[in-house]
Amino acid sequence: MKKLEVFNLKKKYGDFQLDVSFDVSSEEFVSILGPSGSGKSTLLHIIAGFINPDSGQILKNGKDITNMPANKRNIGVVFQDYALFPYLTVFSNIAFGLKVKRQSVAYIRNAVFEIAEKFGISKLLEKYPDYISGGEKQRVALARAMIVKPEILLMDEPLSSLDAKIREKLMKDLREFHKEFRITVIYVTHDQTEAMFLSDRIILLNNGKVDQIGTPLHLYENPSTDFAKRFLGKMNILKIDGKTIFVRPENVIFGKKGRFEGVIKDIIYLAGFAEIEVSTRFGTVIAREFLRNVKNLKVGSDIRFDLLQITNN
Amino acid sequence: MKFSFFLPVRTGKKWVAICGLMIIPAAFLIFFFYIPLVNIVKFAFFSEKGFSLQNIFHIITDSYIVRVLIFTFKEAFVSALVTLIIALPGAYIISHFRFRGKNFLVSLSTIPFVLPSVLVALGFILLFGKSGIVNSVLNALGFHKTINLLYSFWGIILVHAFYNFPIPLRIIGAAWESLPEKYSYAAFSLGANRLETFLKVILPLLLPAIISAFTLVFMFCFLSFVIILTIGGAKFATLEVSIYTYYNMFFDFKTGSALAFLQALFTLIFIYLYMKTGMITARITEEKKLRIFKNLSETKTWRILTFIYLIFIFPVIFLPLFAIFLSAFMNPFSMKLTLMNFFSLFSGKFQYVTSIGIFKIILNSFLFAIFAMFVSDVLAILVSYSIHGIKRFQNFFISILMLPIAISPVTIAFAYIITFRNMNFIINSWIIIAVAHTIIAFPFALRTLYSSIERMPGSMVFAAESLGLNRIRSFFCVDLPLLKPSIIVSSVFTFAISLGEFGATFMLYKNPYITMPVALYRFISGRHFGVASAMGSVLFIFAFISFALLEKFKKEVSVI
Repeated sequence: MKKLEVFNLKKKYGDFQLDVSFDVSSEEFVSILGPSGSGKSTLLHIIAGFINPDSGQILKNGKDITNMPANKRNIGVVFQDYALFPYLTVFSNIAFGLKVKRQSVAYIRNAVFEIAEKFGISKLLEKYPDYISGGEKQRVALARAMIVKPEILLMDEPLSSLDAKIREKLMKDLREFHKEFRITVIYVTHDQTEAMFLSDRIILLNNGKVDQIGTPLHLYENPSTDFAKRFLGKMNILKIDGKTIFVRPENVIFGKKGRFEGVIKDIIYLAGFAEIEVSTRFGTVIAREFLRNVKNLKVGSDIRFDLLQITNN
Repeated sequence: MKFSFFLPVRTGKKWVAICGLMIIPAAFLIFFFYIPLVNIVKFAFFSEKGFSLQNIFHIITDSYIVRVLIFTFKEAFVSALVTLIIALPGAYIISHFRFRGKNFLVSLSTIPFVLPSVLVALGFILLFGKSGIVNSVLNALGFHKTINLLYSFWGIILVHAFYNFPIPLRIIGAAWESLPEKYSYAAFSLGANRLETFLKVILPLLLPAIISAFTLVFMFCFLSFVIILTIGGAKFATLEVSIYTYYNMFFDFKTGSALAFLQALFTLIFIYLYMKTGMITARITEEKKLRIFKNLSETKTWRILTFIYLIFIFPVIFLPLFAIFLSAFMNPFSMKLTLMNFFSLFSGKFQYVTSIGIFKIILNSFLFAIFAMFVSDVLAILVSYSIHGIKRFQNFFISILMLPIAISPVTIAFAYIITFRNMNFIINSWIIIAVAHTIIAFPFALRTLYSSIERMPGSMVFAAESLGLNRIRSFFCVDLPLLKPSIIVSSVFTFAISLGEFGATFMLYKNPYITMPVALYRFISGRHFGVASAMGSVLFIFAFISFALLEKFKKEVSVI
């Protein structure tokens, strides 16, 4: 069943024009991935109802919500940096949505305690947001959004201002969260790792237009546009005999019987693997190898290799 | 070693450098601020028999003083409240829309600092006095009832509100503008409507800024002096006025000291509250992502509301100033333009009021202002570098050095009289006024300069040294150019403050050292409004130049 459908949604800002159509199934985790300026935050704000589109239609469960005010949509939002109200305790932050719905005090208390238990933040309820960690903030923000039982949860680059270590942990937490709650999630990010790690499907957005939609694996293995080929992962773009071909670094395969030849220009050791730059007659080719396979390679020595192309289908 | 890279010495002799930089400012401040301040405490709490609470007890039981206290609080509270109410719609407008005249509205925030209060008082008298412009117009239109705002409670409130409303406009407007929109979005997405979002999210987030602005205006009105003397008349007295009265009429040092002590206690609390709420505001609004301003021409309702607001605000700002110029250049009987008032002013026709010639008066004001500007700049720079070299207790030292901001001008003057009353060469000379102006202006110089010295990138100094300059030369080649905008702002500020200073000068002056504001006050007291307006116009020109200079340079330096 389609949870959310977006038809020809348009919004113009000066030279920039957003123009998208897509749909999201029930319980699906969909990422909107694109570079900054691609319009992904604008799109999210339009779905949430903070901004009105110039034209187009948004359906939720088949019903038109295009002009419905944000506070009536029953769509939850987790913001960049979480936007927890700094003057309220964690308890009051979580209770906010129930308070504006004028629920009884007893009901609110029970509901907050229950959801805090689920998210493992029962001990934080008396604290203020300034005094809890990034990971705790994410749980509080999720609890605050989830307590009003939204049908769809939007996330606006929640991890973008955190450092790499904590980011990895919070991505795991988000995966667990989605497995447990099975809610429809639309997740906006510019970070391909996050999108691939978390999503059932990725909507690749470029300059206000949908570039390609698909599962992470499909997008990685079969990028259909130039933009998709360049944006996701590393890519060798080579002109061989007048033909442009695209090759992932891990698909450059060394071997004595390889069709191509070159000279190793540089070896860059990274965590777990190495990148090998090879000078060839059609330019520099970057290859990727596990460290254990790099030991007998030397800078300056000749090498032969084969290329496995990305297929277009 | 984090903070020591601006010092001339980096190892071993660091303390020598810190103390060396501090020695002149410390001596100046100890002699001209801390010792006089201690004397106030001494007079308030010690008699021949030793420590006693008698004076304090006296002032809290004396029915006149209790009335003064109640009036001071009431007047300051109502003034601040009215000011806030006038400013709030403006704060919303400037933080959400783009329109013509917005920059001007925002820039008015320096008015309370550069426009002398005695000038504001004059403007209101000319406007709302019995034979003032408003009543003349009403008469000419056939209304034969005179509005009498002068010598009334609401007259005082009106002047205070006009004078101070740009402060909350600026403080709250800036906070609102940089309030991240994600908070209201979060509230919307949780089901709150616009009203609930305003009451439960925006208002709490703005509250520190609102309290901060309220406290600052409250304190300015709490310390109001010349406006109370001129607009309030004999009926009303603030604490500040009563300190003056106890010294000037009763020659009662003890009660005066007790009053000054009490007043300082209150102002310290206000300043603390102002700084604290200001810090909270800065934390909430630290995200520098400014909102997108809507063009006013796109929303009809707000275009009309803004128009109404501006129609209301601009006359309030300009009419008093307009009244001064009108009355300066107009013959009240023939209603024709004339230079008569300026001729009277400069020919010495009214010298019997001021006892010295007008050129001497202007020169006095000018010299005092130059002195205050130069000395407070130099002191502030020395102090800033010295404190910057200390690793710990920086905030403590800054608070101690900023203390003059919490001590009212009349109190400073009063403390000088107590302390130096037997030293004729100080108390009867120009020095005492120049020094008082310097002490009053110093905190503003320190605030401006310390914050920019603190933010100065140390790497540039290192770069200069790695290129072969020693620390003295790198100071002139690197630090000074980097600090230039701040030094200009600080100089204009201190110059303007000294030029408009009334309270301390009024307490301390001897006839040869009359300044423009004091002369203006004398003209007003003698009801020579024509020549007062001419004097006022001259003073206004200076204030306006300061205002324009600040406008030009303050973009790079924060002022309030």
